[in-house]
Amino acid sequence: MNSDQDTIAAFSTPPGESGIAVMRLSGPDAAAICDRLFIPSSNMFPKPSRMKGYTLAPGIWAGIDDVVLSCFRAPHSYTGEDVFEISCHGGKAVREGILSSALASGARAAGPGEYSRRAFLNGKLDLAAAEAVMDLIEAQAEKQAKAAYRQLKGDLSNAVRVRADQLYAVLAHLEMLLDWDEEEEREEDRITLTSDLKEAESALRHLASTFRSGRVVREGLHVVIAGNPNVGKSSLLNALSGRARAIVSDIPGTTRDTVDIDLTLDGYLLHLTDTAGFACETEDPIELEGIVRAGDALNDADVVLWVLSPPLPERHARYHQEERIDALVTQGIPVLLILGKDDLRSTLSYDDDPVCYAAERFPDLPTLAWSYKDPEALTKLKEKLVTFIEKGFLSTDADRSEGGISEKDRDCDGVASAIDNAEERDLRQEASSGYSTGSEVLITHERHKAAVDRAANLAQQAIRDLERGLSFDLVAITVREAITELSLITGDDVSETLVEMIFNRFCIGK
Amino acid sequence: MPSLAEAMKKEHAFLAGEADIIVVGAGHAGCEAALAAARLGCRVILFTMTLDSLANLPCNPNIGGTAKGQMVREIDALGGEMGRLADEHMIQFRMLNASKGPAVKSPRAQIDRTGYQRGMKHVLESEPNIRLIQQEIVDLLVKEGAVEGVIAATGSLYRASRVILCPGTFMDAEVIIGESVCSSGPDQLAPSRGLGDALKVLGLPTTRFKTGTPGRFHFRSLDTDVMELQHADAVPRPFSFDNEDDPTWRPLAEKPCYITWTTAGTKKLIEENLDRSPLYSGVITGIGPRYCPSIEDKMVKFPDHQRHHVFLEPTGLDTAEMYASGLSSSMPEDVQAGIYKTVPGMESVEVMRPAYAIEYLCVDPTSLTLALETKAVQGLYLAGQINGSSGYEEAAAQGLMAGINAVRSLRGEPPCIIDRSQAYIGVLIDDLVTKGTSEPYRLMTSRAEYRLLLRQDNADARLTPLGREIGLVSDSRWQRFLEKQSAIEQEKSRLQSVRVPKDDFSDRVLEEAGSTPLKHSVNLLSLMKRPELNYDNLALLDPERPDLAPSVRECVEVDIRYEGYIRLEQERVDRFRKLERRLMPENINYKKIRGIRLEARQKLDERRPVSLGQASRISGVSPADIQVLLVWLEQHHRQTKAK
Repeated sequence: MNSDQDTIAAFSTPPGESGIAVMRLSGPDAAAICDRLFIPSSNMFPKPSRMKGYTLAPGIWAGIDDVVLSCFRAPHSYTGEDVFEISCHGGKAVREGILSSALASGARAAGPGEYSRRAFLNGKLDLAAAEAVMDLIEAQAEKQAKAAYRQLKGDLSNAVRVRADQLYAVLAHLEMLLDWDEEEEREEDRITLTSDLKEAESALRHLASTFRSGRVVREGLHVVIAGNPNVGKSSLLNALSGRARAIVSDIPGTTRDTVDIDLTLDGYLLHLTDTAGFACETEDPIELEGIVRAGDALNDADVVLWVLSPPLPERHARYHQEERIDALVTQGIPVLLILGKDDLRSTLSYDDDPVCYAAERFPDLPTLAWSYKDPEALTKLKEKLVTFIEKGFLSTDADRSEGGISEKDRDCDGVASAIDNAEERDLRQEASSGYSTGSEVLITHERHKAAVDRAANLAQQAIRDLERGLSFDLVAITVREAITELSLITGDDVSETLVEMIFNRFCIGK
Repeated sequence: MPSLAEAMKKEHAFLAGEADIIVVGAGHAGCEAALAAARLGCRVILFTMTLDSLANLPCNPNIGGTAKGQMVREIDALGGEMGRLADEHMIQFRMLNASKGPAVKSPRAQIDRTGYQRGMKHVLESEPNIRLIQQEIVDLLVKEGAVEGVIAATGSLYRASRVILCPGTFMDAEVIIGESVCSSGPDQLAPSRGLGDALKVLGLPTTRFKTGTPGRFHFRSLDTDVMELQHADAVPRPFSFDNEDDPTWRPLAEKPCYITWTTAGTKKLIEENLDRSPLYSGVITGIGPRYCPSIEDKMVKFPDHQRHHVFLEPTGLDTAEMYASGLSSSMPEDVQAGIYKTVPGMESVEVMRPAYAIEYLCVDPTSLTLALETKAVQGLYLAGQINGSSGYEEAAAQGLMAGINAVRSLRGEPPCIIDRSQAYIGVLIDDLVTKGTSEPYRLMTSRAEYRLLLRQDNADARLTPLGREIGLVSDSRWQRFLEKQSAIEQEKSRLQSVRVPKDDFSDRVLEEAGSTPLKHSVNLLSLMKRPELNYDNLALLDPERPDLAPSVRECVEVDIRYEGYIRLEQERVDRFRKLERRLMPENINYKKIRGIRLEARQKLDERRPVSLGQASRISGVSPADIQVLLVWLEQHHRQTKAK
């Protein structure tokens, strides 16, 4: 179970978009973690309890967001421990960035009700309040029981267990050598152990890399429709949503603010945002504000549908548009080019034909020929979005080359490809239903992601230790810890499973 | 079940003896239990079915091994007997896992079996507080849920308010060799009848376990020339602190072991005769240990293995009997004979004792408290294989703790419970009592969460203070212990104060040791932390080094070189202890705590864990249940305080 002594982090504001979000860090290392995360913005003598500044992604040395840091020293805080609150902007990317930086700096993702539990254990809540906490935790226990039951049936914990099994195999091998092998150490054992661990580590990294798309399954896919004015963005939105939500007109700039619609597609939640067109000549303040909001929406998008329609804009506007699309690609946000008004294509000159333009200027981006008059096109678009949710990449049209997997969907270390295909198939078969989306299990919770990440890092450390020539008893400690991390998801009793594994795999006993 | 008063009403009733504590069975558990209790000042009666077979080693002729060797040193540190006797009757010493890290270095010794038995008998006879009696105990005297004594097969009554049962594998035992099944204990000794029924009457949950032992062969019939020789270590090490660093101590002898392998012929023969194996024909229903499979088991479970190890081990100083480790079997004798013919070097072997399987009655250890007292009957303790464990060392450790705790309970003192972070003894007892076992339980280092702390080199440091507190550590041993600890600390601070300059000489020494030159001057202590460096290859940089006892040196080296890992492990232990220290109130009604799942509620109610930590290790109790309990406890605590 979770310790009550480490430092936990979580957003205390509700999930979803909001103007301001507050992340709370509580525990003995809260100050140290903030030291790593937070840079005060001025050298002026700050009020000790409240500071403006910006947060850093550790190791990258790049700012994430301008924030305000508030500090409540133990015991004068909600939990009775050192508490630091980082108030940041409420965008998803920002929230995610700050939380994962905090986790990377040594915090643990807090479980539900954990702040209250700590407050209670540290005597910050009275008995009446304790009753309330009790109810909360009780409810949570029930939820956990249900979750555990779901996991027993398969889905995530099965996928994790397959990975954990690889680690168990390594640990069982180590333990067999330590408990049952009368010979002294052999070099070949070290080599086998190292290569088995490397395999396990890549499998874990791959699993961790499914987190983004997994989150999409849980929270919904943010699809932003963008493009220059009057290219048919709102028609696209209406077609997808099946009703005239956005006002459609021929006057450029009709959509001045962003328009949001939530809808479901094959059981998945989609948040559609229709943006104001990026006209660059407008001086209308409302329209300008719409453009700013469009930019914000783009930064938080999971997928951008960029509509290109004839007639293509003139050089200057075209340049702006290209700049924005390139920026999205650089940020790792997948872009699908919607080549609009396909029904008019036969009447277009080469210069005005979006298909030719896209092929020339954005040969690596997936495209879709679109006409709101063509029901086929709508079916295809929906298929593409579902594929994206399930597989994490945008499929390309048949006539384009395979490519099209955007950078962010690739495994972080590029190791996914190292996994043998046959094994991958097995993994997929193992994992069924639930969070899995038919083809592959996805990690949907930051907490699970953090556990898998830690396990992968520990596996990596064990590999290093083996290579450094450390003794097997020490390597075993690290591998066992990696498994313990995964057992937070699977709920396995590590030592029982291990003993089982040792006996099943090795002929032991004199 | 009669009470003493009822039994006394019978005609010719004979109260043959009285004691503070009665121990039934003089195997490794019983002997340790009786000695501990007697040495703590209690009057003890120790029963054995035959005085000629106490402290028998009916299976493997060795003591120690992985995890077990560490535990023998723990038993010794607490004031037990096993380590001292093993040192006295050692005929081969090996330190297993010497290259695999300090956490798993495990001492193991071949033992002169009859010498060990004689030695134990002598120790018991010399103990003034022990009455050693040959008598079969068949029933218990119980009054109002508390034990009052025992009844012998002859009808004689013995009174004591604490009874420790250590019947080993003798309760309702059956020996099975192929189609032959006969009621017998190990080594053709009579089985114990009656006691098992008494336990069932008392409502203790029982089950039948199975284990086995290979044959014994005459040494002259082995062709050892075709076998691989396995010698003792060049430097033997004693188990006991008493003999540590004593230059006059050495093993009785250095007898080698011999290694050979089964062949394709062995495999074929076993496969052809599998239908005659009682394991597969259904004659044996008891559950056997996975870590000690019979040769037929190995062939069935690991069909891809072409050959299996066979170790031929000496069983004593003055006997030709050789133990064939790896050839445990319950096949009929004719198949056994055929099997031996297929093993190189054993073709014309003379069988002195055939291999056999043994089935026996044991008790589900989850019906015990951590003090090894039955929850059902006050004053009744169980120790050793009756609790589902296997192994001499596991038995001895339980016997020692049961003996200590019986005494403490007599004196009205709280029980002595060793936790999982203190000793293998704690891991063993907690595993048995908290989790139960579905096969004969063998200790393994992998069962310990804090293995790096539970080393053989620091067993004395871990447990001598506790042994002293219990009252089993003599003044002179305590003095020596304190001196050793201070020598270790002194040497560590000396190493910290010795600076190694950055110069040509140090560069050269380090290079020769396979290390890299210094960037600036450092102290020896930090230099020793480099994986490639150790005490030996730094000698040239440490000219002032004092002459240290080998055991001191070993501790210093491990402490320094593994300091980082040890510290991390210690932090984990601190977290673990936090939960162990949260005690559950005795009268807690789990059925009334909302939020605990049904399965967990039943398990908790049945097992009645003493601490939140113990509760968390019960299978079926989830982390969520523990969270609920944690809050409930705190609430309960405050309410009690408010009143």
